[in-house]
Amino acid sequence: MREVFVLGVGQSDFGKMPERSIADLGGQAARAAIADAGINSAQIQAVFSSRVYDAMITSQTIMKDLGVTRVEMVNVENACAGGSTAIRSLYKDIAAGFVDLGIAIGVESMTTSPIAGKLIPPDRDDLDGQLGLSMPVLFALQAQRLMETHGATPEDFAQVSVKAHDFGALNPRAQYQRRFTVEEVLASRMIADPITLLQCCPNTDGAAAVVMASADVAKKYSEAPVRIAGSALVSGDYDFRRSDITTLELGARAAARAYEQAGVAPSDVDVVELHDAFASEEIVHYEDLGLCARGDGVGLLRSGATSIGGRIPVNPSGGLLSLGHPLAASGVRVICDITDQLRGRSGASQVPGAKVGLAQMLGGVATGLDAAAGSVHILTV
Amino acid sequence: MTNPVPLREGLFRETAAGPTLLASCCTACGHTSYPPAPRCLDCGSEAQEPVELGSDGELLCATVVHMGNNRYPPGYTVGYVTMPHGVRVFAQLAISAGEDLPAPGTPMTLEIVPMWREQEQDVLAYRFVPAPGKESAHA
Ligand SMILES: [Zn+2]
Repeated sequence: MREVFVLGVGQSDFGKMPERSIADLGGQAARAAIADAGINSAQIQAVFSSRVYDAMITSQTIMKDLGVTRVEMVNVENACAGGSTAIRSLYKDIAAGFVDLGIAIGVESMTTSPIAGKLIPPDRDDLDGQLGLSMPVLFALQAQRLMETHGATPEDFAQVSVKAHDFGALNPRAQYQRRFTVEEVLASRMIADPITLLQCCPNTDGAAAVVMASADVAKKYSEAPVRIAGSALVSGDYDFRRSDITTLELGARAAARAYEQAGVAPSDVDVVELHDAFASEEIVHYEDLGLCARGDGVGLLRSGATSIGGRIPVNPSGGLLSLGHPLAASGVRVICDITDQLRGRSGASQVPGAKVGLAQMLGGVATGLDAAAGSVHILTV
Repeated sequence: MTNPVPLREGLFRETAAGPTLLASCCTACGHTSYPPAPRCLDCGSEAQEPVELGSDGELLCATVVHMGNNRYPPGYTVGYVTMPHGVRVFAQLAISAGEDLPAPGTPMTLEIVPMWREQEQDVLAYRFVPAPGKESAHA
């Protein structure tokens, strides 16, 4: 297997922009990534794109405006982990030697999707979905359980959102570039107890893109390209196989594979970007990613280790909570943000001296599974 | 007036002893699957026999959903209920507006009710009602 490098990253604006098309949003991100890589779009040999809603020939729709035709283009869907799946797919093709240079894109227009302004449901025919399950409900029930088993409090969950917005206020790309207090988060409208509105990611349109290359190509364009040292994508397992709903075991399995491949331990990681669609789940991810011992997630949060200036800052971008969550874009966006961190160009939210970064994204629910798709990538310089 | 239809076949039924969820039990490894599975989800064996989970369970956790969705108006309550054989079931909970959420561990009992209407027919599904004082079946 060949080594694979990130050569360039790009993001579109994030926000509510129903007037902007998929080609427009995706094109903005792709152009930015291509410019960042310093390549010509004609050199691109493969395109993997992801979109959840109303998806059809997303890659071709975006790339035809960039002069890229006659190459292999693949369009993937894996709920919120779709973007990670596009990254993973291109990674495998470069590692295997099928192509030397390609681009992975995630894009979503949530404001024009059929679920705009609604609670994100499972598939139409899903049993639990028919009985009233939606994404916030799933995570609210997990949060209820965290209060029972972990001693977590509503203030802890609110603190995750406060932390995300503290970071987001430093990121010019965040949809909500402002800070909130724990009291403000708790006082916002209740969505599903104990999750309030300010503990839910907003509906957001946006796109992200990553240009990736083999070592030979990468070294022509960059003196210090960021290496994808570990890449994992796993499907969920049966819910009955997990001891409790306070873990999303597919996230732990993806992390274990990525750590092993990269040859790094959780304690080596300097910065993390992860799925915080709902504030409370971040505490579960701390444990599943091995950032702390099982059961210590609340303690890690309270210690400040994952906050600005902490030992292991989590979501210095502002996370889904303040950036917003264009579903399929988020898995690509976390790779962009970790790359920027490792290149030392994250501005006010830069983690000093970051050398090892971890990008995680989970997606999808279905009756009987812990979740549908989990992905972890480990990047190094 | 047409007969109500179940949400789907083979999930639940009324018996002389009360309503029950229908599951399958693997004769090779003993794993119980709900909804019933033609093939064991744990070991893969096709040797499955039907079992009734009964109507008694215990609340794992619950939440009130304050945003409506297509079928349910804002303020509905849902939760996970642990049934015999350790089966964890997601369902609506019959809690009136303003009533406190039942505490984890509260005994719950199953009921089969019309959940919504579709094409002029009631659709039957199950939900749980708090039954404090009732012995939990699997305690
Ligand atoms: Zn079996």
